[in-house]
Amino acid sequence: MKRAKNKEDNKVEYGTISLPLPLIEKIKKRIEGTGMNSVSAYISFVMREILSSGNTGKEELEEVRKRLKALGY
Amino acid sequence: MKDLNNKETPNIIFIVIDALRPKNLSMYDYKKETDKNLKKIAKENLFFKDFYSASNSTAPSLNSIFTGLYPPNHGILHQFPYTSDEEIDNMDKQVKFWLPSYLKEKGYETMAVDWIGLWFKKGFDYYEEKETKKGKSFLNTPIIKKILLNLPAWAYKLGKKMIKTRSSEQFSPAIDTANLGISKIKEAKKPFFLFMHFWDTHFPYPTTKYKAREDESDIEETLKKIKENNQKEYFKKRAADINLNSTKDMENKYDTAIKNIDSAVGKIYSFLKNEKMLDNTIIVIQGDHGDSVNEHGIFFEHSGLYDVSIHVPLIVHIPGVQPKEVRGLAENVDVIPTILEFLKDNPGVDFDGRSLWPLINGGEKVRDKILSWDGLSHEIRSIRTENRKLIIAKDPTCHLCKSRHHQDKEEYDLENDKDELNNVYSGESDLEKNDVTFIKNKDNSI
Repeated sequence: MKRAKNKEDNKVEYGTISLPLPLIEKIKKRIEGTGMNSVSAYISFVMREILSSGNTGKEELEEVRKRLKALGY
Repeated sequence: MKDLNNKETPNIIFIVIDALRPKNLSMYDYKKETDKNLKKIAKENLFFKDFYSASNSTAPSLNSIFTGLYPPNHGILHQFPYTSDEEIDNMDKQVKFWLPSYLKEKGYETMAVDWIGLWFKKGFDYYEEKETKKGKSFLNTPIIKKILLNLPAWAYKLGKKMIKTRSSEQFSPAIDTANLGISKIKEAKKPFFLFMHFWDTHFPYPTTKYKAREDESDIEETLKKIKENNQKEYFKKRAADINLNSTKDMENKYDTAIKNIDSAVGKIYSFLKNEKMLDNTIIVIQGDHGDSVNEHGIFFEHSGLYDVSIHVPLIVHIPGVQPKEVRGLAENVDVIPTILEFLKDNPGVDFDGRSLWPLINGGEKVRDKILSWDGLSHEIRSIRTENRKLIIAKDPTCHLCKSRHHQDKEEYDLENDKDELNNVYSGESDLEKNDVTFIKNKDNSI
């Protein structure tokens, strides 16, 4: 991923990623009339949903179990 | 900092203090002042004295706090790791309202400072226990990677394991939790929901520095009070974990942990006050469950459904609402309906909880009973009214110490026996007759 240079400290940095063109077309059709104004906005939304969906990885689960064990469970 | 003082959309902060029992807080008449700041906050806001949790353990209780539902209705009956796959499936099917997700949909920035993770991360934009350093992690820096990759496989695995083990043993102290919470408030770009979970008060209080004061050990004496061998073995392990020889010291350490959290919560409250954010921020401070220090033959566990394990503190700050000490039964499932009524918001779902506004405004009762489920045993539940309590233990084996903390049925006359010492169950109870749906077992037997 290529990172854009950032002039203001508080400004969110953006990068570019590659997607197959047919997929981009499908997404464009999907977001028609939804108020989502770009493919990038849609991908960002979907990724945020996935990352905050509560899915816990194996290592993370192991870490939680260890801590609970230390607390007597 | 962004101007968040838009009264239409108040910020919401939920502070959960693990295993905090009112019995060790001076605002509930404890002899030591462990709660200087909490007491002050309680005096300035709504302070509920008769507040209970629907469970004696974290996972079912947090689920009740986030859904407004009782454990059988939100699915999670037991503390993790005793939660079954079936319970998690039931949660996925049954839960239609999850506070963090709901607020996120409403446009809130949702942030949590906690490590429990699991399904509790759902709906949060940010979920961390510690400030994550920006940039590459230590293990991913090129020089460390080069060194590690050139090691023999066994040394590589050992090195990684050592780094992991060390990190898992490090719980964040209360002040770090508070500081991270404050930094997230400062960073918030829109109205936010902040959930903060303080674990310092959970035995063996790993973040709390404490030097033993008692000269004599009472471990042997305590072991004599414990009837079952499994529980004796469990207590021996726990005493080794805390590395103290006196139960007085263990309780003193608990009090010190409370003081640490009290300072941390005081810091957050002062910050909000100084930033003039109290006019636009709802704050809920509550315990997720209590703890049995030495009551009922249960030592430093929150097993069982005696009041010590389900009675918890609740302080609520709502902008514009006058301070009040609120008397009358209330339960953790009631918090969401109360907040939503203040926000004039109706998500269109049924809660088990009820809005506490009639109780707050006019002292009018909103519930005549508290229902609770034991998340640390196979199957125990209780009905508690203002002056009576019935505990029904279908399968009381404790997941922690593998012993039984309850008889099959226990009833207490709380008016004359508030410490629940004399079981007066005589083969039948008015509570059984009046609440058959609750006490029925899965096979419909009573």
